Amino acid sequence: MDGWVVEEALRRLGTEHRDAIVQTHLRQRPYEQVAAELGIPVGTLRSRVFYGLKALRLAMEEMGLEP
Amino acid sequence: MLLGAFALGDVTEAEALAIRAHLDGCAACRAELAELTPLAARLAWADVDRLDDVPVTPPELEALVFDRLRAEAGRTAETTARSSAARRRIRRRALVTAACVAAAGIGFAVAWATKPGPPRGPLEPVAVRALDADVRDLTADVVPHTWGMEIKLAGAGFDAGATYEVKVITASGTVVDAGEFIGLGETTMHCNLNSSVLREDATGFEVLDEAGDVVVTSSI
Repeated sequence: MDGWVVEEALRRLGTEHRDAIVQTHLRQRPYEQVAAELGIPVGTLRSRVFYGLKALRLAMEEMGLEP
Repeated sequence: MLLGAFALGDVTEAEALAIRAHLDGCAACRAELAELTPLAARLAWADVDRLDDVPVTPPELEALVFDRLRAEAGRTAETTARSSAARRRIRRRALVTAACVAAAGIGFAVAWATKPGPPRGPLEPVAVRALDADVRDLTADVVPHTWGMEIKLAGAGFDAGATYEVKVITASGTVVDAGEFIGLGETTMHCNLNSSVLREDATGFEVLDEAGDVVVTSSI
């Protein structure tokens, strides 16, 4: 699948969800570092990644794609 | 909530062990994980640098768009103007044609040799008599109109190409032009002639040849 489709799905996410996934997974930065930067507990960041993924799945479904 | 990070493979080995242990006994989390796992593969395609590439609007875009719109609007207006000019030209031509037809109608009666259509309106057959030996098969009907009287004249033997004048005679003796027609020789001529004399004011009409001699007379 073309990268732009995933990127478009990511753009449809809320900033908090998108940033959580982008910083921790795509940029492969440590959770502690990202959490500190955002001024949130690591648990909250993990939560944002989890719900961000669920939102990403929904976004892709809305785009008519099988996640 | 470690499940998201686990699905993406972003957990430490120790965390992974703990999660797997939990998953063994938790169907709900396994189902949740099954939904999230495919996303890891999808995300592998994403170019994080491109993600921030929200296309930047060039500063001149607005000007470009509006210039184009104005140009389009101008072209449309021009096209409209052109077509309305063309329409005006056509209308002018139609008016000229109409004027020619009207002139022909006034000075030159329309003598159409086509077969007359079915009679429209009240047709009143009138007596008509040829004073020229060549003229024959004469019939005439008049139609009363609000604007005057129409004469439907048919007959053969009018000299081909010769112009004939039709005049309506009123009760007071006035002679009023009702137009002209051209003879068709042996071919039967059907001609509609219009006069401004009202039916009730008309007592008859005459057809005069080019010499001014009455060749047909009718009393209404």
